[in-house]
Amino acid sequence: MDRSIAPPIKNKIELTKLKVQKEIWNNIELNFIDGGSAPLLKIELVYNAGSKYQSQPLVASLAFDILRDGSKKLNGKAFKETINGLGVYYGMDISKDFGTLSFYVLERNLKPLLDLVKEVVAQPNLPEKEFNRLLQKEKNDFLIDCEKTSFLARQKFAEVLFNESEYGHVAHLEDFNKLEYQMTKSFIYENVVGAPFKMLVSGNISNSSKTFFKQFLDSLEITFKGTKKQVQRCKPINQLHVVKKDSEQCSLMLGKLLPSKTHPDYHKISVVNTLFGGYFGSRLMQNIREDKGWTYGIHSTILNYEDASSLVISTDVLKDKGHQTISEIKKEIEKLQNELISEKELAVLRNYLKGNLLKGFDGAFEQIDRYFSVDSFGLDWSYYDDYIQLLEAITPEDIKEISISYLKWEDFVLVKVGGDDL
Amino acid sequence: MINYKKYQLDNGLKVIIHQDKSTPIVAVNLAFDVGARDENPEMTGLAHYFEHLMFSGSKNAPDYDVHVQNAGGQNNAFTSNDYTNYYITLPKNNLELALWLESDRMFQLNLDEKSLEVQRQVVIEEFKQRYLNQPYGNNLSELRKLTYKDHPYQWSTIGKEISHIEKVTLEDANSFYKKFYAPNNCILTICGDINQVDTFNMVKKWFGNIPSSEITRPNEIKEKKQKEMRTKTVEEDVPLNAFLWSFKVGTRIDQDFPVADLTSDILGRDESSLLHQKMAVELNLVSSISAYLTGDRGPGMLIISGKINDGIDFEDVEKEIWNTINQLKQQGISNENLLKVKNKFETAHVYGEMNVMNKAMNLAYAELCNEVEDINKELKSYQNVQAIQIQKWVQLTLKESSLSKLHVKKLNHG
Repeated sequence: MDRSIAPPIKNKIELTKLKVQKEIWNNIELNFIDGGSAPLLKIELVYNAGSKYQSQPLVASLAFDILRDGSKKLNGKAFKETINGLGVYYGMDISKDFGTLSFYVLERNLKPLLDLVKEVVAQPNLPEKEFNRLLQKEKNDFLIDCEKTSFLARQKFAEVLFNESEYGHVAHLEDFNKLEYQMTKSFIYENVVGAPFKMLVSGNISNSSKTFFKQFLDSLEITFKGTKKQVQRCKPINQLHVVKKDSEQCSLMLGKLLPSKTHPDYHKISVVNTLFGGYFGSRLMQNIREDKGWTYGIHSTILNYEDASSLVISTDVLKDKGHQTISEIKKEIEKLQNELISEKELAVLRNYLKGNLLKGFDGAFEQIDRYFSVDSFGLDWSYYDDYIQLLEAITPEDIKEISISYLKWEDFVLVKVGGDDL
Repeated sequence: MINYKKYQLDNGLKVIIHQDKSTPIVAVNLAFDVGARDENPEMTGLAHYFEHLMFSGSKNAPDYDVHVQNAGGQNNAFTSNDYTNYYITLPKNNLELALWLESDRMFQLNLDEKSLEVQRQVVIEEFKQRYLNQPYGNNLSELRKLTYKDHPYQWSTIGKEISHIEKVTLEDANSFYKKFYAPNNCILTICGDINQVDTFNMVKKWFGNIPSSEITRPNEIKEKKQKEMRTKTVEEDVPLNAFLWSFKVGTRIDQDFPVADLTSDILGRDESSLLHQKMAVELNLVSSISAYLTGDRGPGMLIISGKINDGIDFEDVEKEIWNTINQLKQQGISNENLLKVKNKFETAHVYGEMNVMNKAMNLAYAELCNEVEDINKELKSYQNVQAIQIQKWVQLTLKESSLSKLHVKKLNHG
C-alpha cells in the first residue's frame, strides 16, 4: 500500500429517475413518485397562495398561521392533538409564490390524516382569538429578528432588488398595526378553500394508499379555477444601501436579477454560480474565509421565483471589513470575466456538481423536490439530462462569456448592515 | 431495524458496516471520542477549533476538500460537548478515496501556522455569528454555567470566551491531535450499497497500520449534588424577556432515558404539548415555549425555555410551569397523550432510517455512548414506556432543588 497514490475515482454518474405518475383527479393534479421501502409518506398540497397574492404584507403568512387551527368540526386544540397523535410532522408555510401544506405520515395513519386535512381545507376554523395571539407572536418574532443584522440585510435587499414588484413588499413594524383579521380570512377563502392545488406524494405508495388519495380529492369541492398572478416588473436600485446598526459583525447582501430557469443559458449560469460561491471550494469561500479568515461563511445562490430569478451573495464578516469584502467580491467577478478557469479547477467543479446531483436523486422524497422545482416552471425530467450534458460540455470560455454577460457589476444592488467602517 | 457488521482492528479502530442497496450514495462517518468535556478549563473551545484544523490537509492529501469535491462528495463535521464527528457522502464507487483521505488525516495531519491563524479568525467569526451577534445567542452558554459547577458541561463547544481561542498555539493543537486523533479513539461507520467483506478489507488496508495512542484521561469530574434552586438574571438589549430553566437529569445510557425523553416531548415538543397549549394558547403568557432533553452521555439537562409576552412577570410564568409539572406529578398523563408522543417518535425514527448519512451517524453515536445494538432496541424501549413511569420520573426529577433558572431581562431604554 502506497499512501502517496490516491485511489482512482469514477466520475460517470447514472441518474435513476423514478417514474412520475401524473393524474388529474377532480381537476386536481396528482403526482406520485413511488419508491423506497419504509412505511412513510411525504405529502404536499401546493396552492397558488404565496405572498405575491396578498393585498398587503403579512396577510399570507398570518393566514397560513391560523390555518393550523383546525376546522369547523375540530377546534384548534383538538385538531393539534389529533394530528400530532397520529405522529404526523406537518408544516403550513408560505413562500413568495406558493402556500404549501406538507405532511410526513406513517402509512398506517394516512386515511385518518387525509380526513383531517379535508376538513381543514374545506371548512377551516380560523378563530379570531387565535389570529390576535399569532399576530402578537409574529410581531414579537419580528422585533427579535430586527436585532439581527442578517435579517435587516435580507429585508433591505428584497426591497431594493425587487423594487416596484410584489416580491419587494416586505413587512415593516407598522404593517402589524394595519393587519386585520378579515383580510386573512378572505385570503384563505380566495386562495385555499375551493381552490385547485397541486398534490405531490412520494415514498412507498401502495395501491390502497392511492385509493385514499383519490377518495380525498373526490371529496373536495373545487369551486373555481385558480389563476397564477404575474408580479410587476422589478426595477432594482443599483447602488450601495447602508443600514446602521450597532453590532459585532457586518452583514452583506449583494445580488442582481438573472434569466429564469427556462432560459437557454440557465444551466451555464448555475455552474458559474457554484464556481463563484456555491460550494465550499468556491472562489468566494476560498478567498474570504479560507485565505483571509474574515468570515465563518460566504455563499452565493440562485433564487428562482415564478416571475424573477436572482443571484444572491450573503455573508457576515468582521465589522471593519465590510467595504473590503465588497471590493474582494468585485475582484472575484472581474477574475471570472478576465481569466480562463484552469482545466483542473473546472474538472473538480464538474465532478462535485455531478455527485451533488446524484445525491439530489437519492430516494423518492428527494426526487419529488427535484421534480417540483422543474415542473413549476413548465419543465420536465429532461431538464436534468440536459444539465448533465452541459456539465460535460461546458468550457472555460463558456464560463468567461457567461460571467461577462450576466455578472455586470453595474447591475448589482449592494446592501451593508452594521459594522464600523462607514 | 438496521443490519450491520461490527469489527475491531488490532490498533483499536472500531468499524461498523451496513449495507443498504437502495442508494447510489455511500456515507462514511468517523466519530472521535473527544469533545468540549475533554478540554482544559483554561483553554475551552479547543476541540471545536481543532475540528476546523482537521481540514488543513494531510501529508499525502494536502487539499482535503478538493479531493472530496473531485470525487463528487460532500463533507462536514460538528463538535459537541461529548464528541467530534466527521462525515462524507459520495458516489459509492468512490468509497476507497474517502477511506484514503480519512486515514491519511488520522495518521499524518498537516498543521501549520497559516491554517492555525486563518481558522482561529474563522472560529472567532463563528463565535460572533452564532452567539454574540444574535439576540439571546449567548443564553444557553449562561445556562450551562449556572447548571454545572464542577462538570465540564459548564461551557459550550464554542468555548467560554474568545480569549481562550486566541491563545491556542501550534504546540497545543499538535498535542491535542496526538492524544485524541488515533484509531483507538474512533468509530468508523460505512453505509451504502457496498459489499461488507470488500469494504472491511479496504478499511484494514488504509487504517490497519495507523498506530494507536496512549489516551490517559483524568477521572471524570462528577457534578456535586445540587442542594437548592439557583436563579440568575442577566440584562440584555432584547425586545422580550426570556427564561431558560434547566433541571438536572440522568445520562443517555440510563435505563429511563426514553421516559425522560418522552416526558420532555409531553411538556414541550410541539404546539399540542402541555406547556404550549396552556401557556401560549390558553393563557397567552408566552410568545413561545418549548422543552427538550440535551441527551448527553454525561449528566444531562431538561431545558424549558421561552419568550415572555410584554406585561407578564417572570413569576406568572413560573407559577404556571409549576402548575403543569405538579399536575403531572399528581394526576400523571393519559394513555392517549402518551401514545401521541410515542407515535411522533416512531415517525421520526422511521424517517431517520431512510437515509444512509443519518444511519452512519446514528450507528456511530450508539456505539460511542454504549453499544451499537442499542439502535435496534431504541424504538421498542420508547414503545414500552408506561404512563406511571412518566409520573414517577417527574416526581423524582423535576423538583426545585435540581432547577437552575436564567432570567433574561430586557434593558430599559431611556
